[in-house]
Amino acid sequence: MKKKILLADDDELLISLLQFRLKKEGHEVTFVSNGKQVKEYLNNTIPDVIVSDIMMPYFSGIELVDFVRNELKLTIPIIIISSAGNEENVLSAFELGANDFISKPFSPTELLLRITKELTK
Amino acid sequence: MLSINTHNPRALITAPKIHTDLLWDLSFLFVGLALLYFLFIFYFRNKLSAKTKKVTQKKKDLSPIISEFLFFEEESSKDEKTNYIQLKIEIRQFLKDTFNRRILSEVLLDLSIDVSGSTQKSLFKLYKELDLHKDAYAKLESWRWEIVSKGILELTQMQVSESYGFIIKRINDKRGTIRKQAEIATVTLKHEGISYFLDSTRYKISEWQQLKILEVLRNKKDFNPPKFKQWLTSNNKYVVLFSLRLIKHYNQNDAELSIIELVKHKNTQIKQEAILCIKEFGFMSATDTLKLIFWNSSTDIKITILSALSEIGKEEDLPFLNQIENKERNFYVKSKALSTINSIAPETIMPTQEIEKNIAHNTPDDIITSEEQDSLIEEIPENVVIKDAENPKEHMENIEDEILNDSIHELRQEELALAVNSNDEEFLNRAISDSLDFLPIVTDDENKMVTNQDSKPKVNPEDIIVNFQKVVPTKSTNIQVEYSIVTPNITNEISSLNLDFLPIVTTKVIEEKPVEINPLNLEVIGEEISIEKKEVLNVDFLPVIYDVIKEDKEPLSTVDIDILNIKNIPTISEEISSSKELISKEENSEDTILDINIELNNENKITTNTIVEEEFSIPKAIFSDKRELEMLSLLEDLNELGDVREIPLLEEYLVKEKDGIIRDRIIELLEKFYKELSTTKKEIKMDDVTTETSILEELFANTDTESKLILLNEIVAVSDKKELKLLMDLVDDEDERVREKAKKCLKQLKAQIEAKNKANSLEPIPLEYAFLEDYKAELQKNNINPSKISNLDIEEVSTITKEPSFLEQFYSFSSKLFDKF
Repeated sequence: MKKKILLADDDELLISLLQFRLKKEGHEVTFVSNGKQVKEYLNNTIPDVIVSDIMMPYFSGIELVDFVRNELKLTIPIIIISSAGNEENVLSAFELGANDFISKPFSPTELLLRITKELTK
Repeated sequence: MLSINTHNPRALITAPKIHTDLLWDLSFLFVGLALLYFLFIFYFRNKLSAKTKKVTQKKKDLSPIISEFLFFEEESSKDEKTNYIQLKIEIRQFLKDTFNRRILSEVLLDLSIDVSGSTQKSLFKLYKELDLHKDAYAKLESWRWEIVSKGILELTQMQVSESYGFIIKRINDKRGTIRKQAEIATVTLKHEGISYFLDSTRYKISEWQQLKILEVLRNKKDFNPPKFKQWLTSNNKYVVLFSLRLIKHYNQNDAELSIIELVKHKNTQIKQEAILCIKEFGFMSATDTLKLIFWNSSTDIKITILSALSEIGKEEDLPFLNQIENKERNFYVKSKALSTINSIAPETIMPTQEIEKNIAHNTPDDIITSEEQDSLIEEIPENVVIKDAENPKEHMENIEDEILNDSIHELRQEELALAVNSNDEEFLNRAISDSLDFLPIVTDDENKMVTNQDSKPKVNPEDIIVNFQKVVPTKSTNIQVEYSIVTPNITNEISSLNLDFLPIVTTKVIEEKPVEINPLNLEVIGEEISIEKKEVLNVDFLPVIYDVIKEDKEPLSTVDIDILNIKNIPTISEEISSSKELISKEENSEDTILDINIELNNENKITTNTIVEEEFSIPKAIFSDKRELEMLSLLEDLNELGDVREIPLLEEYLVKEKDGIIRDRIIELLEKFYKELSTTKKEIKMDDVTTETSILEELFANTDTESKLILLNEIVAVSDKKELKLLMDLVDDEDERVREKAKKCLKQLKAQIEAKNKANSLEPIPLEYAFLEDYKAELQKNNINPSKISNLDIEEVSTITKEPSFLEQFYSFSSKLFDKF
């Protein structure tokens, strides 16, 4: 089933890779590389799932979760990508309402499975 | 006229006379220099940003291609496959440029950090397939340390295990960065890397490096650590130190003696690490050595030793520790010694500093008011007899002493002092008697109550009954009494409560109740035991498993067994009731043990294995004539001793021969030799053609004819010697078009390689070429006319990529340097 997925990460290579993988599965993927673009996108469109890196320019992943949950009042699933050893930030993200997290390095297939799991909930 | 000179006309310092033109010239010069500087800055900034943009753009262009490669599946559609082939060709063209190769390497390296699992594996594979690892090898040859380090890092990160041999050489490089990078690479690339590293390193292993190596080892999958004790004898003290840490990390406690010996090491760090190992593994035998080295050690080591002793020490070590406590001047060591003593023998040293000797235990007045006290005492029911099985005499004495002491303490100091001073015995006696008024009256008769003072010398504590009465202290104002109050709510249930804590005196001799033994119980227990024993011994419920002796049936032709004897072999058979039966039995009778009917047939008889006696029919003899016999014998000789060279002879015989049997035999032999010939050909191919496999080989294996043809159109332009084998295989392809195309390509490729070799005429003819000559001979042998191949058009494609010489490199470096400055 075709779903709208928003990918937010400043690492364009990784995002491109993930975009390719998710598109191959038939999803509609939009990617943004900084927090400002995320805000702009979310003000216009509501995706089915958000996959965001925790460290982004202008607007971190935690702020994104806060923005989605408390300002936009949306309940869409949010999956956080974090680098290893960044557990504290991940906990903060969970407290604010993130649904899942995946730690770098990760397998794109694993991310796909997590997205599918969130979408089927 | 009076003239007043206000200043001296002759100035002490005169301004230098500079020509205005010179000033202008200098101004122009400096302005020019400033402009030049800004221009340079502007130029280099633009150049750098342009380069960055170019790199970013290239990376963007490359990322979808890489994704395509990484997620390509063999089950993809035809379009995807075609697209994949096109991309392969494109990327080959793309990689001819060094800059592009560098970018692609960077992209793959970046991605390898972020991805894991199958994607990461595909990434490593792609890196090797595109020959990017060769660039990293080239970097290893550079004279610049940063380039070499980058090369090692790249090979390590992309898991190029083939580079292990090149990297280990640099473990003892003079340049620290290269050395450290090589150390990590050695440990990362192979499991045995750590052993090689510890064996061969001659330099210091920094703490940070040790941590990094340890991290690498911890993240290694299926890593079986070697016995690190073998490096405890290393000449490099850093290796010894690191080995000790690894021993501790991997819990390798089989090096007790070596570790204890290392406690005597001159190096403090090794000494400390050895002591920590002793503490960790609890080597009790190390205590003597630790005591031995204690006095000559530094404070840190002393503390570490004491810390170890607290774990492994015994009571025999206490004198040594007491000695430390008395002799040692250092406060920390002394404190540690005390703490060690306490951990070996707890509570042996009590706190002595600033401890108050006489503490008045005054109960605050507001805890129990006198009214509450009265009401509580009134509620205590009469005739409550409380038994105490403990020593009542001792209890009594203790109570009296306590009360006496407390009472005396509570007397007003002034009065007591006065009484003592004036030897007023009466006052003292009264004070004591007053203070004891509240006590329960102890008597040897239930009805007779006497005072404590009177009864005290006569009391036999074992014969005392205590009657709780309403006791009102006569002089409670001056005496504060502290005693516990029994809650009076208990009446009937009192006997069931545990009142052992109360100071009870009773006349009744407390007899130990004989243990009531119910003979029935005994019997029951006995029965249970017997049943249990029976259950343990009775193994009837277990399935009986035994070997069934099977007679191996040998081929009938070699049967030497006497059937009669076989019949005499004893066999055991079992009949196990079917599982259904068992289940039904289990359901029907829960308490009964499953009864498995095992019938052991002790009689010597064959039940299952029977040998069927067959009648053997012996074929009749066929006699050949002499010529036929000779011919057959010759053919047999050829079969045993001959090889592919016999084919022409056999073919000749086949044409001439008319006898059916001989013809069949010749055909058999010919088939055999043809097979041999094809195998030899393949072997030659495998030996002579480079062992490197083409990345296109897999593609061809999985693509259809059209894709193959598309690929063959482009293959010559992007191929090298690795594709020779592939093309040779394609010459034998099922499809005719592919075969023709492959032949053409093979010809072109050979010409291309020839041209390349001519260009590098100084180089000897490569082995591949020698093989081609052999191959031609093989083709001729198999009646493939080489002239057809030689007549094909040859497209010369110049793919000569000459490696820059040292001078050229030097020139390019100097020009780059000049550009930078």
